[in-house]
Amino acid sequence: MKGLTLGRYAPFNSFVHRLDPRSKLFILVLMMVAVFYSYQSQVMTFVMGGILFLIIFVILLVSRISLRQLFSSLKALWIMIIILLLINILVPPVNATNIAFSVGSFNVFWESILQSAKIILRLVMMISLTLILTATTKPLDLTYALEWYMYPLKIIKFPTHEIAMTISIALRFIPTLLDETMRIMNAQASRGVDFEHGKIKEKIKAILSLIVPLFMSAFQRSEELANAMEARGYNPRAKRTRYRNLHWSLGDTFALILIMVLTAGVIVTSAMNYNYIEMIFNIPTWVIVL
Amino acid sequence: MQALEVKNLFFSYDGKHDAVNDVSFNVERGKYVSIIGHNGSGKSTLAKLIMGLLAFKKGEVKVFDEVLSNETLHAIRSKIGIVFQNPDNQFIGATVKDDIAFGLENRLVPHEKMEDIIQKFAAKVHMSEFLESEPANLSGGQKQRVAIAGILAMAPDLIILDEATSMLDPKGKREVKETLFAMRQENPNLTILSITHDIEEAAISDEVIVMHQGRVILSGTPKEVFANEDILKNIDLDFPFIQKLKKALKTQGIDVDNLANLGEMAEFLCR
Amino acid sequence: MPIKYDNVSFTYNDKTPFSYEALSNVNLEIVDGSFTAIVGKTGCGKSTLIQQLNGLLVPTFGEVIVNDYVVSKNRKRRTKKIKELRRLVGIVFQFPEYQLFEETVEKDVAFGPKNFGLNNEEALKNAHEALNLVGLDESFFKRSPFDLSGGERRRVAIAGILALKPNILVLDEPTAGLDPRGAREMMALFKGLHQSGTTVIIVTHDMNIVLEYSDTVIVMEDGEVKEITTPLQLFNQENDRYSLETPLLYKFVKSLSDKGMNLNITMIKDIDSLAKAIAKEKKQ
Repeated sequence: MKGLTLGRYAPFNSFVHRLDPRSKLFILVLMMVAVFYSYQSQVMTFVMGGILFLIIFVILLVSRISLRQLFSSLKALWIMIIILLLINILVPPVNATNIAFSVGSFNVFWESILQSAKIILRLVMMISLTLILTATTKPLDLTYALEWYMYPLKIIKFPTHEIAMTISIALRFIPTLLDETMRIMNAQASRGVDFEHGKIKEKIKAILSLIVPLFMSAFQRSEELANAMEARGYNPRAKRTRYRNLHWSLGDTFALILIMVLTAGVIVTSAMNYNYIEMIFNIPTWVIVL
Repeated sequence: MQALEVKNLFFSYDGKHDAVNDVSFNVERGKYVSIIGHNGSGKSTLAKLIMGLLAFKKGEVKVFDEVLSNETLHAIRSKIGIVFQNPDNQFIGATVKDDIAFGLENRLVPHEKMEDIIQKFAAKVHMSEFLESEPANLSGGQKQRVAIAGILAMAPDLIILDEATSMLDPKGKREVKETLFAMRQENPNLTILSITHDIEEAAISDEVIVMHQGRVILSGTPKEVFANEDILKNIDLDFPFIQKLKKALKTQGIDVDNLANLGEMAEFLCR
Repeated sequence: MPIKYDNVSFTYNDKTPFSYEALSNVNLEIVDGSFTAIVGKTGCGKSTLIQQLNGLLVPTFGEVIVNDYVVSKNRKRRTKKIKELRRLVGIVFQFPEYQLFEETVEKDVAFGPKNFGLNNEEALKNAHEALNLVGLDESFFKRSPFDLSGGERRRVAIAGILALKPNILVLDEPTAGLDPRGAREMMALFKGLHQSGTTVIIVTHDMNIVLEYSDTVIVMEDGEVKEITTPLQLFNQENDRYSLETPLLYKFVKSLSDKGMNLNITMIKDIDSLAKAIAKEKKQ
């Protein structure tokens, strides 16, 4: 279990890896906004989608994320994608008029296919963005970034520090807890517990034999941890200094400005109903099939 | 001066049975004192009472002449460093560096000074190559050494070890013992209170305190304490190897009672 | 029940970038009715070795044969009813007190037998017997396991395995974290079981236990079996080959022989025999 990296963090040293987690978080949010913007014309939807996808693809490459990683993170969604496709095909959007092909007497409309494609494209981009964040940022750094953003909430006495401390301790203990789970499973299996087969009643017992010990040990652990923390002078409400400081660099400013410009561009394009194809090629888009 | 003065301490977990029953003892500055006794004799409870992690109902605890109370809790804790038994359950940071830093953050050490302190004390416990390591990749002995580095970094005057090597393999035990030894060499004024099962460790301490069912039943130098054969046999505690050997040799007609350690014994016997 | 490891190798996470060979060409036999200690530095493969005995782990190469049961990757060779093996070979892992989960002590100890088909009544009967064996009397039966002390919980956990009435008892560091008296009581229990016919296999770092209780020692290093020997022979070697902690007794014997005293090591197995040997030498 020790080789397992959490959240798919891969320790490379790319430009994206070196960015401050605060900027990455903000950029993620901005790009999510950009991805979900809609446009009046179908063509523009795909043009913008294509542009954004290209940009995200480039970031993926810069972050040294392998395509294999991308596909495995999409794996879980295959079913959802197929269901989406089916729903849109079976229940075509209103005003669907262009038939792509027919299965017997049933018509499959282009609009259905394109609608599905639009959603799927957005999904893929969303997942890619999240993957970029988790693959290039250590979970603990993300926690620090979140804590920084939550800082203003201190005014309403929101326990930002306590939450951040809780999350960071939880993160630190995940490998330890995984190891413990394995050990308890081995111990119970040696007592004849079958975690794979058996009737419902037996399966419930099997799960209990795993969960109860884990919980009890977690309680004992927390008590010992609390004692250790107190003994070392920890007081969540008192002032503390910080060892880990996040460093904002020029690269962060540069990346942030870049993405802000991009997002602004997206918003403007949508609001002003710009149609790049028409503008560049001077062809009215009704000429193209759609 | 006394590093620690415990007077008539009483504590009960359930209100019926006293886990610590009228315990009194002193620890002089600079001494290495071992507390031995079976599990359940009250040793660990005592450690927690001294740290103020549990509130005693009767009695007094004085640390370097300061009386332990709600008001002095913070001040007293900053003079004491405690290492607990379970290496995992006192490792808070995500990495070795972060864990050592935890104590520094609590004590408001300025950010600029932290890195040097961390490097310095990690080196003292020979964990310099592991500064970026996560606890999941460290052995028990390594984690305990990090714990020691963490408390050393706060320059405590008194160190309490609560069965700090109980859960370690022999290599880990040895590493921790060597670290403690080096610490004592460097700072002879450091006072150490070690709660332990290791009878050989007790045998080489400056003083030994024996606890049984919440009470102190024996205290003094190892020689004085282990001379009470009947009492110790009664509560089923073991004797140090050297003592058992001396006794066995005596029945064979060889008197080595006045020799201090195994080295001298070997010399004497081989003459 | 004879135990045989036939050319066993085991690799964790085989065929992945995280693969790690924990056992390498292990060939050994454990004699029925013996008290065998398995020793070696942390990470030498001891825990991996014992987990092959009840099929928790299956060898990547080779096979483990316990009586007629075969633990193997080979579908044709492997025994179908591997679950039964888990009753015959009872494994108690390190810090077993962490596996308790039932509402009462007796229910937890009866859990194992029930998994192997015993009805409630029979299971409880076995449970009570096992609890008495570990020194926990009736007053403990209906208590919650979480109300007990660490040492008592460990005994409940061990009773949980003993209730299965295993022919082979495998113990991974059973005295870890116990005080000396607790450790002695625990080992006395295993000695008693051994004398009743159970084959006992103990993984331990405590060389004093190896010396006092075992008749065979298997020394492992880096996933290989380096030596199969007796405790006396192991501790009387010239150099500290396996970085094992020599018992104080033999450390002292060595310091004597370093200074020129001639002692017949095979005659020395405890403090009294050491004193006698020294006295004998001095008289000459």
